[in-house]
Amino acid sequence: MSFVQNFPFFSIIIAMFSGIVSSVLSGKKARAVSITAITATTALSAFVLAFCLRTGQSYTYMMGHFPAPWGNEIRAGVLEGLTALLFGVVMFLSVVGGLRYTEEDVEPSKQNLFYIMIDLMLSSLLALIYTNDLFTAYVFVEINTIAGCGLIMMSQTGRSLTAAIRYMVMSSLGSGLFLIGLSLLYDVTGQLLMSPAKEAVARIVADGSYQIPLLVIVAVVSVGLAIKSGLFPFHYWIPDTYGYATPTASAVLSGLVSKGYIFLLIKFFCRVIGTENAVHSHIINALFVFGVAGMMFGSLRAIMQTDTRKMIAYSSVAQIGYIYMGIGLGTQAGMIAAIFHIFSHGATKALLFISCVGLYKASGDRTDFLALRGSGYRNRLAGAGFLIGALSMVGFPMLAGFISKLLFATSAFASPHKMLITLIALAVSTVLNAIYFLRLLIGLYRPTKSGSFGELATEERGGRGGEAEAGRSAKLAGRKSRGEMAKLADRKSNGSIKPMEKGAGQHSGSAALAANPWTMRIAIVCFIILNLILGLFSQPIVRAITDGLAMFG
Amino acid sequence: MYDRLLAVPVFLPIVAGVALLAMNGWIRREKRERTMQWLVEALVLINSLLVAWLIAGCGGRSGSLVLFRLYGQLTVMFRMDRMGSFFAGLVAFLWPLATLYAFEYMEHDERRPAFFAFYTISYGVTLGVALAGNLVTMYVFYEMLTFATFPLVMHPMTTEAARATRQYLYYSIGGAAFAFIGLVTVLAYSATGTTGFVPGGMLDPAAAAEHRNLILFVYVLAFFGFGVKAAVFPLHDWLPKAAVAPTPVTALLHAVAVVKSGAFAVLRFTYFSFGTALLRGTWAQWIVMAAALVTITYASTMAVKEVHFKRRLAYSTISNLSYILFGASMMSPLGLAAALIHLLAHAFMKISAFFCAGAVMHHTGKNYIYELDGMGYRMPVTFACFTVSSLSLMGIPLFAGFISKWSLCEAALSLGNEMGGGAGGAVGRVLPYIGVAVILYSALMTGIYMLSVVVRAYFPGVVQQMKEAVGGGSDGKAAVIVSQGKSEANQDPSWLMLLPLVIFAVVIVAVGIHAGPVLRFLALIGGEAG
Repeated sequence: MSFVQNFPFFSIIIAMFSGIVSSVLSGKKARAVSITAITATTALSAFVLAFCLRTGQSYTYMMGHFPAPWGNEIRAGVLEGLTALLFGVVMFLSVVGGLRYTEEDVEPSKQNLFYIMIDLMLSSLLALIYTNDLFTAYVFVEINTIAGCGLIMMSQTGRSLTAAIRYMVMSSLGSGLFLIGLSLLYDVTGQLLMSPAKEAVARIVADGSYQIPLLVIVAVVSVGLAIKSGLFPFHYWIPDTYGYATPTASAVLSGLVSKGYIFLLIKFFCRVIGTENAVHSHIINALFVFGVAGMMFGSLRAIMQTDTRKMIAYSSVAQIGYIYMGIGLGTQAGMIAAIFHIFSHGATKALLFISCVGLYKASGDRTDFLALRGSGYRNRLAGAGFLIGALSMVGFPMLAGFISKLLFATSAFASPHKMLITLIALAVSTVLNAIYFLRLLIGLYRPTKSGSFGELATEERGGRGGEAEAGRSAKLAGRKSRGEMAKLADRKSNGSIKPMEKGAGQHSGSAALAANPWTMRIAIVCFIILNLILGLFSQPIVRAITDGLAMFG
Repeated sequence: MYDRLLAVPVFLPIVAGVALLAMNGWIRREKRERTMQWLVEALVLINSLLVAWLIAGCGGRSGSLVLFRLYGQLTVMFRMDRMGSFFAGLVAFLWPLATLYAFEYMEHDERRPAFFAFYTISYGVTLGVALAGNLVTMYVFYEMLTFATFPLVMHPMTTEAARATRQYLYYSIGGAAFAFIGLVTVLAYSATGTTGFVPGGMLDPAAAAEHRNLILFVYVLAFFGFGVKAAVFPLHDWLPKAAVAPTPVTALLHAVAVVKSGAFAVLRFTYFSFGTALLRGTWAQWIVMAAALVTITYASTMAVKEVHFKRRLAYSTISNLSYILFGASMMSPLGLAAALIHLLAHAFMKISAFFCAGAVMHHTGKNYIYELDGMGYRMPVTFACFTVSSLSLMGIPLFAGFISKWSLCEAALSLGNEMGGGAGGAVGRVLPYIGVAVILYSALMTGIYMLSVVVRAYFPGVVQQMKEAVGGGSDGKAAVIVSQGKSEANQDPSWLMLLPLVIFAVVIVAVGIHAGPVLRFLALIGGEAG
């Protein structure tokens, strides 16, 4: 056995232990530990990927040398390695990109908690990717949920608390359904390890016994994981969650966490139920329908938003729809397209969230359309990041989104009944994406009302925004308890005026750029490069996905 | 050797434009706008000469250059075939002149570097559309064209401009999204597994026969998809709105580069990807033909109603673009040749008309047609050129417009004869003849909407007299205007604006009188692809 084969296990454990260790460390140290852990696991994933590419097959890793029915197994192949690597990269860049804002948004005494959650999130994602055991998957699904909740409520505003509770409720529902599915599966097959379970399922299908329980299992697990990943009718929790968390948390949650569940679902289909059985059960058609509906509905809701963070969050609903549509095609090509879109959307959405923060900071911390006007001039790098992200979402050639779209479209030809629907859904959804992303994009490069570009406007806007905000709060104050609200209004106007004072100090364009912490600049540039890589050199990645999928089952 | 250099004219302007954008702040700080402008002009000119040299070098031979692979068989590839060289030559001829014109037009603008940056980038991208060797490359540059030109539409930065830009983006990207379906379908049913342009189509005949109705449906989708930029009827609305952009943009991009790229793309994928053999005589052909005819009728009627000078010209553009699409929808060698000759003629006529409108707006601030009384005396050269282009647009013999309309009618009649045997069903028998009638109707409308401007400009008295005849009171205003116009100093713009105008007028007349060589060359293209 090669030493590299231990790496999947190492990476899960490293991430987990760094979380445990961080609980007694200060915020700064926890941050260092967390970043080191992410770097280390990403490097280990790269080794795993290289190893599997060289050997050309996947391998099973027994934990503690207990044989199959009792032991716990890890299984790593090309697809697992690739996913872990890309997740690691996106995670690293999200954490690094939001470093400064995490510092600002999270209370100093709770800094280390934030990084503990990040560590736990990483370890659970890696475990979901690597595990070959359904119950282990369930355990890490729960860890993932808890870490997710922690990340959401870290900024500790009222809204983030309700968002966290909402997320908790929906997620628990999802994991509950998943657990029920597991129990039924255990009941029917007597197995929890994926590979033996698959054999048992194959026997059952051949017998013709337990048809209905099997259908129920597929349905319940699919619905459970669909709730957790935010597929269309269950997307209710997404906008608030992504909208009110800290930037890093939003990027990680939308870019990775929901994708982790989808990865688990794909694994469940390929490795437990068997793709043919899943296709045969028609559950997949339901996923297709809801995926397409999600593409439309998510985009339509995104168009209606005035708050840009919510807009990006609703766009995630649409993008999750794409992925389910790909899975729902029920062909290998569709599955490849779905997996590629997991990567491309992860990279793009994280880029959007991170670069948007830069724009918010240049607009006095406000997130609505009007306030962001002209911010593309005030923070050029963030503007460029948003530009690339938006273009990728719209499917501009040479960026990641185009390849996704292309893969979806070409894979549609393999399933004649769904072909025209898929093609037209793609086209319509592109139009809808263009409507909300490009509307914002034009806004970013429009001068503010006063007709000026760049930082002069910041001053003015910050001041005016502050007044308006204070005025609104004062009006409210009349209705509610006076003293409390006045204090709130005070704080609000202070908060909004602060950037104005800052803006007055810095007068040239370069000064506004300097407001970007260097970590964020690196993150945005790296995300843009990642997007270009996915867009221009997609061939080897798609080939790796194809190979990985072949050794997946 | 030539093949290797094909990418240069495409990327040189793009790189230069990006460099300009990067140096934007420096240029403005140091007040180097003048130097910058002449450098841009020199670069554009060199690029055009390069294109001319490449066209001369390639002749009809078509070498190809694969730049890189987007994915699988999707390569970004340039090739100079006859049709590509035709469009590239047209663009290369117009761009330096339009840049010259833009110097004077934009002289008081604050954000000139950004303007010229995007203007130059658009040049490269349009050449990319022209030189694209396969459908993918054309799609890529078609999308890039949208993104290179939207900052130009937005240049005035007013609310109106932002609204127009938004609409332009939505329409264009939406169109591209449907064109994408066409692209993927072509890829899926391609005979060679690639999307390279082959005269006469490249779909696998067996697969095409099997999925005939699907492919026809996709063709219609793609027609309207690419047709968005060519402003085909239900999707035309962005073009008149985009008239808020500075005139060099409306003239060059919205009368030539962008819209012609749309029309060119339609021609390309009709004759070089789907193939006319598959489409001729089918319901798909009649649908797209009907769409073109409806557009012609609607837009030429709307142009008469419109009183804003540039918007009227924009409606005229819409109707003329559909002449090209009408030619495209004939699916015959004659149709292709006629479409291309109208593409050429309209480019010169409309850019000339727009430049005149721009000169008037720039020098007198007059935007509406009812303000133009007597302008012909104050800006004699400008309005002489405008008259030439008006007459040509109407289709008066001796001007280029006559040649192209004649070719279109000829092609339609021959198609009608061909379909008369019943090959195209009842619709197919009638539609070409309706097409001829629509062209005649549109010529009448063109006469009304263009000549009403000319008449106002030269005979303000006539307008007054007509009003009197109808019953309006006269106060001798007409005579005042005429005398005013004559007494006032010549307000013609400087040579920067006049040179392009005069050249365009000369070309219009030259093509009108001696069209033989052009027609022969286009017949060659029609013959190989039709």
